[in-house]
Amino acid sequence: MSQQLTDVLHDPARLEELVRLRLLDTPPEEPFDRLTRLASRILGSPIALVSIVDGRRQFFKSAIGLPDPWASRRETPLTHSFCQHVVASAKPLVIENAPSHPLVRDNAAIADLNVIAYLGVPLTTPKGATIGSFCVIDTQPRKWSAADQQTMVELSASVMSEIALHYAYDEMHAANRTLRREMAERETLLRALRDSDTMLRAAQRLTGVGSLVLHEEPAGSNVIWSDQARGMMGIANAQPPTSVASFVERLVHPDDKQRVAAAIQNAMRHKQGCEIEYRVSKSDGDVRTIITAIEPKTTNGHGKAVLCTAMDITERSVTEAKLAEYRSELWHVARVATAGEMAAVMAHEINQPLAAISHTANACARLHARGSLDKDKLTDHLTDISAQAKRAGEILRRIRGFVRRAPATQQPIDLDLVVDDVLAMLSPISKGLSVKISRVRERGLSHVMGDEIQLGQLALNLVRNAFDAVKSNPASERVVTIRTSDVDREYVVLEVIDNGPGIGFDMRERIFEPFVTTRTNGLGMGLPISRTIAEAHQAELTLCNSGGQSRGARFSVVFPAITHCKVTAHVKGRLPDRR
Amino acid sequence: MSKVVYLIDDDEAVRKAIALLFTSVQLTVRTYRSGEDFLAAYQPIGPQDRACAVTDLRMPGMSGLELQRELHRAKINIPLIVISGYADIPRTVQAMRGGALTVLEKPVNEQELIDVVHQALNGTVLVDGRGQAVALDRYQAQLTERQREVFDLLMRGLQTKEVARQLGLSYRTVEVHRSQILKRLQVSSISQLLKQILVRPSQN
Repeated sequence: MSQQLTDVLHDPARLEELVRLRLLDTPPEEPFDRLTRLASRILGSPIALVSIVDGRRQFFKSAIGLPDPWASRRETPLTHSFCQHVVASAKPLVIENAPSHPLVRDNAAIADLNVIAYLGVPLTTPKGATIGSFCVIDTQPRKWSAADQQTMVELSASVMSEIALHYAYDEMHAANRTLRREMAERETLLRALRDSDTMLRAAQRLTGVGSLVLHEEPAGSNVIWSDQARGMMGIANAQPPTSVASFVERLVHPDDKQRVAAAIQNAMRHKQGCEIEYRVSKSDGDVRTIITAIEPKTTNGHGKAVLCTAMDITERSVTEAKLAEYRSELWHVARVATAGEMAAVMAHEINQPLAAISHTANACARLHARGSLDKDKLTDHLTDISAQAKRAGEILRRIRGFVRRAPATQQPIDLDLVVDDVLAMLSPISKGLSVKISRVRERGLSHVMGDEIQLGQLALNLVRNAFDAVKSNPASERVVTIRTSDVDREYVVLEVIDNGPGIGFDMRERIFEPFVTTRTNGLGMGLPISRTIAEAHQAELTLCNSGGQSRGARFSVVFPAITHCKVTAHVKGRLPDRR
Repeated sequence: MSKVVYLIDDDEAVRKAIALLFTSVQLTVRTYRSGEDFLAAYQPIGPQDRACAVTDLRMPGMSGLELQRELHRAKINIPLIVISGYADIPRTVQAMRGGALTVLEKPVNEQELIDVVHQALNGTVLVDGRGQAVALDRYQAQLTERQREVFDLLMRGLQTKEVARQLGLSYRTVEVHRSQILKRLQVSSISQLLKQILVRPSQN
């Protein structure tokens, strides 16, 4: 087979066209048979074929006068194909006596199919691909006339028309099928959507959750507000706002307007959903706390919009506030209990300056009685007395501050100052136990958002636990390290590290449970309370390996640093100072 | 003969105030911020000298009780007055058992502290070989003034000859006083008296 012949037969564009036309391996069809019968009769040749040639065979879409087995196989390999040469040249092939024709004299069709005379014209698509040959065959040598050739050319045009018709019909059928399928899918989708809508309405009815759509610009009559949303915001019988601006202006509580507008704008601009808690002022004067999930709406280019799902959480926030109150009460009780445990030590601490005052005054009285009280010295002594009175006052201030019952506040607190105050308060205990305090303060952020008393309670619990842990060490080897540092200016970390016996693996998590204690005189509430305090400050209290040392425990509290805290509060849309 | 009060307290303000109190009654006082400091600075006193130590019970590092043990171990037989921070009964008992002259509770009554220091410095306290301090007031009360002077020196282990020289008396006179003392206290010898004093359970 010549190279040119191979190239043409395997031309990808031609093969693709063959596939597209869907002729290969299809059943015989009357319109094609009619044309082959016509050619056979007009030209008086026993055999006529519509032969489609692909890369390895010729397929007979129609065959007249072919002997079996070829008639039933409806194809031959290329070794038996004259038609491939018509395809290769894209020109009519006229053979009078095959055995003597240089192109086909070795072709197996001569012997096997008794092909002697052959007249084939190319079947070429409008795109210019020659897909096969329309041919007549005689079993004896024959001269083909110009009229014969002309007849074949004209009939081949009919074959091509038939193919085009066949193809168009097929296409139409396929398109129709696709359309039917899409319509069915659409129907299913619509049904699902209707079901979903029914369920959403029922869900809103049962839960009181409402939904609404807000547009960047007023949307005229395009109002999408569920009954629940209207009821929740107190506009059941009024026209609901459709734009963000009018929603904020008409319904949102004055103090929350700016925050809500910013959150919605942010959701629209960055195509990012968020949740926000805010208050709504109803026209009857009632103020409700609403939480709303805001999701950007996919639009077809007609301005931006957000989908809002809103829920009235006024009752929930009241409950939450109540819960926070009880929790804060519990913490207070725990602080009082802690102070009680330390009462003896604290009494001693107070006694020190009082003793100094008493002794100094008594000595002055004695000196004065003897007439040997120097005036300058007296000033010194009075200064000492005054300083010691202040010292006693300071100790009292710390203790009273610690056991004070005050509403929790959220404000920037310097954790370093809290830790220093706690260490000062615990100094009589550390002194009594000969604990060496290592206070490590790494440069960086130290402010966290929170409540000073609670943070003090947290730090005190951890440091007292550390003191207890080192008790079993010899007096000269009791070290407690308190470190404050920041991580990437994003977190503020408080670490309390002791060189005591450490905490066994089995106790690691249990120690955070209530009433679990390694102490004999403890209630086992210190760590659970510390953990809840940490959580209330969006911080995490964990027990880690002591790190670097083979002994001891390391408790760390990771707080969001203050800038980060502000951002979080903003993004989460929490109400500031709700309690 | 010198008299000195060693004052050991870690709290600077308290230390300063008690020192001033001692000074106001014309006592010589040396102050130390810890038991360790005191032990490091301590110089043995002469047989004629009088000294006592006033220490806080609760201190970082060496506690008052540990100081008491160290004094005993170093055979520093001076009366020890312990000031306890708060009602800490086990430690008080321990301090007394360890031979403290007395344990005073804070805030200390100034007069009481001054009295007990005077008692310690005026030789009316016997410190035995185990560091036990015993007040001898009970015996002294039965003696005349002169007899008490002799008694005090005898209790400090001085021989009759040395007592005579120190008091500027004749050997004979001291001997008479000595036998009168034994008679009044109803003992046959000084060593029997010492035995009687020292086997008694320690008490305030």
